[in-house]
Amino acid sequence: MTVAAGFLDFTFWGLRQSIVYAGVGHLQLLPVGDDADRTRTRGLGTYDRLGSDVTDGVRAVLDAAPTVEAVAPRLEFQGLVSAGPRTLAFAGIGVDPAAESRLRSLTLLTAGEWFTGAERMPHALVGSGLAHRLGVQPRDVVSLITYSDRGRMTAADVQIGGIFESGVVEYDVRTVLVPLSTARDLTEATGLSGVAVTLRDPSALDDVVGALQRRLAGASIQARVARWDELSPVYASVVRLYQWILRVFVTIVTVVVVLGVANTMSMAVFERTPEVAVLRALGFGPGRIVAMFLLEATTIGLGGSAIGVGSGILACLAISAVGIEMPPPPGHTHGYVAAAHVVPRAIVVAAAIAVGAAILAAVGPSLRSIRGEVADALRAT
Amino acid sequence: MSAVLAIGLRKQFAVAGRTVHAVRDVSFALAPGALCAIVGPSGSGKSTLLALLGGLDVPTWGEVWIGAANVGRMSAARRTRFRAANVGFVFQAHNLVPVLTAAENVALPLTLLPLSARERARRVDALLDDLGLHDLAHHRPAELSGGQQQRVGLARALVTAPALVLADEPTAHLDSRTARDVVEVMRAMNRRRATTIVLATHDVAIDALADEQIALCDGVVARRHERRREPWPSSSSDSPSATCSVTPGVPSLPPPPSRWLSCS
Repeated sequence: MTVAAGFLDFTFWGLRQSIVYAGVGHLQLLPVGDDADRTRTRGLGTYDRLGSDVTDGVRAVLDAAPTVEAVAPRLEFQGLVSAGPRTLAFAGIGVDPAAESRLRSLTLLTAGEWFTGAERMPHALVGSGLAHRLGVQPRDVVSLITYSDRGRMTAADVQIGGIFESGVVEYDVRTVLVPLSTARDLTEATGLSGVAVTLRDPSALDDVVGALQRRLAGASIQARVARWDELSPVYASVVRLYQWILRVFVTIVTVVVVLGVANTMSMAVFERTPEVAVLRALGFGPGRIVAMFLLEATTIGLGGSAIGVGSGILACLAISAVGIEMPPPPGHTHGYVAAAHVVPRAIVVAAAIAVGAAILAAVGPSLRSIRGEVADALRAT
Repeated sequence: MSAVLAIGLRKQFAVAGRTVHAVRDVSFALAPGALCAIVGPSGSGKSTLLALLGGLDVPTWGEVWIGAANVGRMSAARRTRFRAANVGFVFQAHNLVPVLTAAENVALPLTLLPLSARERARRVDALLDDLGLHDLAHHRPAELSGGQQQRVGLARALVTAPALVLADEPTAHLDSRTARDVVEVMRAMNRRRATTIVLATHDVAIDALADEQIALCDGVVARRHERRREPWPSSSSDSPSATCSVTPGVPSLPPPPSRWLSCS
């Protein structure tokens, strides 16, 4: 159970990291009208934007939070990308290259390079799926066409600077990253679609969110703060699913442990029937004898849990040292190397289950041992 | 007052749909400090009678008094407490706790009494000395001979200074020489401590050492014999009567021959 919980904890941690560092960040500042479902289809040129007052208004809060790692402003838009005879729909994101690179540490560049800032013409990074469908390589030039916030059709030629893989197929077949300045030219927007923030210490998330919300409310700024788990509801679904699987697993393990220990305790009580009969004859009451067996069961449970938890911790460390090659999760392009965390809570729960199961398993046999008259028990010996 | 008084004891069991009379209309009285042997062949009801006397079982009919306590009328919990303080048991198969040392086995019944650790240790040491077991105090039962184990069992029975010690076939698993040694030790403790001892046996050699013999046959007292005990040692001047009293209506019989061991 320690290993299973450790493996799941690693899986959850890995999923969190992949969500946060694939571009979502730990939190985002979003326009009030925007909702958490960022995948819905919207009309071209109909965007909710954050005004410049927002970024100015919260800057002090973000600057004051020592745990803030990166603040990445974004400007999202949609349009068509054309490469020669092929034209496809795309989802564009205007980014601050320096901030965004810190926020996308899990994004893999399969060709080309990240924005250098020294490009002579606007550059774009294209998702691998989209690049494949367009048949483009780094240094190729594509045309981006969109409707600006003012309702005008705009276009720009950009050079492919690199091709990236986020690992999420759906994302990689439609995303184009461009510098914020290019996105502003295309959208003619003065505001932003949002600001993504990563934290060095994720445990400070609640504090930072609280501080931002107070600041926004205090200054009557029209924006909302969304946590990463609100922005990726799939995480909660996955965790819920796996936790149910873990619960079923724990239930099965508990039943097996109870049956195993009950068998052991039954044998122990059976083998000691003469001893119990003698103790009863000497004046040991039923309570003392039951307590004696329960104490023994507790000792067995503690010993068993110490061995089990110890072995589990060693197994977790071994798995983490060696790693387990895992296939790509559904919808992803990359597999990953799994490890198993040592989870203190899981260790406590496993130990408690072992001890509790041992005690529970001992109740029946110990009660059986004190049934009937002492003389009958002695005769049975 | 008698140390043990049995009045019209009966014990019936239902076995395979029929009633078995393990003990029928047994009455007798034992004076304090008596050493009484209950003899009879296997199945004659010796162990059942001991169980009734020691409060390990309740009679179907009749009464058992130990001192002023009517044991048969007590609740199970009260009988348990009563046994802890007033009755010691010696078992046929020694029945020592294998994981405990001789001293720990002897100390076991004391854990039920409100005594300090020092007092417990003192009593255990004194008894082990008395029984010549001092050097074996830290040995586990598996490291002791049969006779030594039975001595430890006797020490465990005596350590609470009970009014009554019941021994069920205490020499059954011993060779004749060791058996005689063990019985002599019991006899000596009986004399020295004025403890009433009732032992069940079908060993003819043992009953000769007893003050009184009660022969059971098919659960009924077939014969009864008492002999005058030797005087108490001077240190036991305050010991109770050295003679076995006989319950009215249960006549004394002449010393029996070895045919006691059968119901013929």
